[in-house]
Amino acid sequence: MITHILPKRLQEALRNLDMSKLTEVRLRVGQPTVINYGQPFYLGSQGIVEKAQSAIKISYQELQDLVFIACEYSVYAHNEELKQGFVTLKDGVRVGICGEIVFDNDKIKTIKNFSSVNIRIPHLIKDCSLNILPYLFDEEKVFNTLIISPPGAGKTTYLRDIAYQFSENKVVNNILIIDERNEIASMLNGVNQLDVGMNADIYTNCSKQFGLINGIRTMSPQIIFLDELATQSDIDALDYAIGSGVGIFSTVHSTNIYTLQQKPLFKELLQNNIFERYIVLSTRKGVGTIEGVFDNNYVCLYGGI
Amino acid sequence: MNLLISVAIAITVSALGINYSKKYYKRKRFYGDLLSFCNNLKSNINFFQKDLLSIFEDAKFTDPNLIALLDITKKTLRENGCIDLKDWEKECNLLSVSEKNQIKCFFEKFGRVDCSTEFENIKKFEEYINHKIDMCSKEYTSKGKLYFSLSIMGGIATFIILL
Repeated sequence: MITHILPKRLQEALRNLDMSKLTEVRLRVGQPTVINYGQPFYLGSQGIVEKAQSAIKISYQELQDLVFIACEYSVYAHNEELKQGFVTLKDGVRVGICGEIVFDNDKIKTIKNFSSVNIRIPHLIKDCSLNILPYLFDEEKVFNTLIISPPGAGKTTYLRDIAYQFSENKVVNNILIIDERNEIASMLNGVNQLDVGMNADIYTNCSKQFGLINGIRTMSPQIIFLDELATQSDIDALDYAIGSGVGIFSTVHSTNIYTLQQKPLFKELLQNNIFERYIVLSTRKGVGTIEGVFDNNYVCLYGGI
Repeated sequence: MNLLISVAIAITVSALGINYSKKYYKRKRFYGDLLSFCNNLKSNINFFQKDLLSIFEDAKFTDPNLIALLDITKKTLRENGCIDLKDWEKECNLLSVSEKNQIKCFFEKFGRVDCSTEFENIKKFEEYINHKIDMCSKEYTSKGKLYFSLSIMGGIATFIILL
């Protein structure tokens, strides 16, 4: 899945591992390679190793070549993604990239001299949301839902599966997915590589603002799925969508509802009860642990410690 | 019999000379095609944002030296994940070492920067190619034609001497 972009010695090292368990590869120039294989491990030439000294250390040139290959040998064609700090591979793998940011008149022109990458491998886990699905809609409506989780705890996987369940089982007729980083559906030449059901329309590589405003006008969705709310403009566009009577399923980085309330950006959003359900995830018992499903009064409906 | 041998030797001498004089024409043709390829690159990068491998695969040229260059580029990209023109450098007899270095330098850095920088690099390389085409045209009219005439005269002279 990701091996074609890696240097040969890393390809050899990964050959001994079960790729279905691999969720992340972190490479930093001159530093030990770290993988997430259920939990973080160092990667040595024969597979997992305990000591950092035995781990493979990637060179500067190897990392530049890796990004070059990830960009399909054409950095110029992927520069818009690069400017946002990532490149998405054909199968939905996201390569987060750090390096020297080049500015041109206060605008980011590109990134060069790459220093580290974080390769995240998406996993399609069908039916992972079946247990919590009944709490997300009733006979009258689908509840606006926010998935709260720290990075790498499975929020995109849950969002994808909820979209699949709603779309495939015709809970509603039309759903719209705003896939800003091509992680939810992994669209390639008009065909999604990760299954999101048969009633899903997908905007790929577009901003949330564009997707929310234009999607409502043109695609008439009943629910919109979007990943990672992070900026004021995201919240403003969300207000517009909710005011239009469209259901929203989204995600945000945080550990629980109470820490999310501390963030100024989300305080008002939570106070106004815009979301009617909150799904809190963690990695406590492994990736995708459901800590609970809460209603807008923060009453736990499912799970709980 | 002696006459036939003399004719054969004279023709061989002329042919060798003519072949040498053609080198100037070949160089001119190579740089001409390379300039067309750069034009092709600019439009593919700027307007269509095609990936590098597709651009190389879609490029259709008749000059054998350029075809060899593009083939090695594609091969190394696919196999090694980077452009490596060491093999081409060894095989190519048409160009001088410094000319090969210029081309190698341009090709091996290709695809690694953003669109506007890539565009600027191609424009600079085009200026270099245009300069080379001018030089090749001059060489072709002066040296090429001189070697061609000398070859014919050499052939005739050889024939007369042998006769």
